[in-house]
Amino acid sequence: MYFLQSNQKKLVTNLNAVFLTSFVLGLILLKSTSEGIIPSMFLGWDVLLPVAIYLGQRRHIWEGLLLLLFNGHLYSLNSSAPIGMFVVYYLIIFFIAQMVAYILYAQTPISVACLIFIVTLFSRILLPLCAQGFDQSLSILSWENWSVWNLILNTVLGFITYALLGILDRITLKVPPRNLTLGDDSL
Amino acid sequence: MGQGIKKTIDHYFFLVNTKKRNEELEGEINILRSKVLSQDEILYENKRLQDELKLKAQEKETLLAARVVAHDVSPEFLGLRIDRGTKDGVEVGMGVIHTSGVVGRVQKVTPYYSDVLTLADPSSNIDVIVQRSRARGILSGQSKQLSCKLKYIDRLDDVVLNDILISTDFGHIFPKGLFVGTVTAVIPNSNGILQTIAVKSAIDIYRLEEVFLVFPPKQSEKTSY
Repeated sequence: MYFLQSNQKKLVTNLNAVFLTSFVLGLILLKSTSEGIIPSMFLGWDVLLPVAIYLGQRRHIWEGLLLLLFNGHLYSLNSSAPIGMFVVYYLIIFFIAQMVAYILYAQTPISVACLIFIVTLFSRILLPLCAQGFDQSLSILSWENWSVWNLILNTVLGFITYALLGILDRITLKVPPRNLTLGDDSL
Repeated sequence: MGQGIKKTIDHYFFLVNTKKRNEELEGEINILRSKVLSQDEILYENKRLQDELKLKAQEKETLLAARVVAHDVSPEFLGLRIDRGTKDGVEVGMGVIHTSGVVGRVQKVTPYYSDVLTLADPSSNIDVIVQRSRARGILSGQSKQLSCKLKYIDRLDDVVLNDILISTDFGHIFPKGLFVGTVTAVIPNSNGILQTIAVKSAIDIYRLEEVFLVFPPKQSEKTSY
């Protein structure tokens, strides 16, 4: 992207939201249409959870809110859950990630993985509660809800998604590229 | 001595040729194996379509075949998307079935696609009867792939393990007598008036490829009952 003119760079940065939404849409389509292709052990994958965490950590509140509202609605349209249920659920995740960002700005791979794992654990309690608000009966205490495999799967795939979103931000110049600068001390 | 060397050389060349021949034959076996596999697939498809035609001949309701194009994106909800919509006359609430039994009901409709709420979805409720004792209840999904629960069954109603549940034709949503599931556990409550019953549903939604939409019988047919 270094060969672009400054106004072209600005355009690419402004299109970041479009690229991010396309990426989310790609994940949604991959998850909903690949049941026959990918093994059934991937059925518990929550594709939007890492996106909500990423937006909570790496975006200004209003920008993240708008993006998540739109992408959450896209997700809702591809689910038989009542419209709005997943939007509310992911917004809560987003706000939690925003609040956590004041204490812990997850940047190292370990801190990102820990954050995703903890939020995945919390989502097992939050989703049934949100579902009950929309007259749906999902059990918090069921074995399926606390499947260790699903927790590991969502942490690993969440980490990969988080990393891909970071790369997308870097490609679209949303965040400045990492440059090695030598301070005066090191000279 | 000379003959011995000749024999050895001949034997060596014979072995080289055999190896080549062996490789050629292995290649042929692989090609034939893939052909047999594709023919098996055609046989299975043929059998499945024959079953579907038989089912179609049995029912009075008009059926419309549809292909499953997507599943629910969230792991907790178990919906399906099919390639038929309002342009094909699909309406909200219509029944969806398969040769193996009841699948669910149409929840949302667009001109070209429809969303189906399957039996296993937590918001699904379907009227069923126990085939043997004719006890009636409501089958609800539990967000598990093959597991449902039968609700509102009186404590005194006769339901035992492996009892078969069938559909009713109330509301003309499903044809009467279609297989819905099998009772896997009966837990009589020590207090209260109902009993808890676990059911294994007839359909594994992740293995469905084609389904049928049930168009209710026309008014003239309804009055002839």
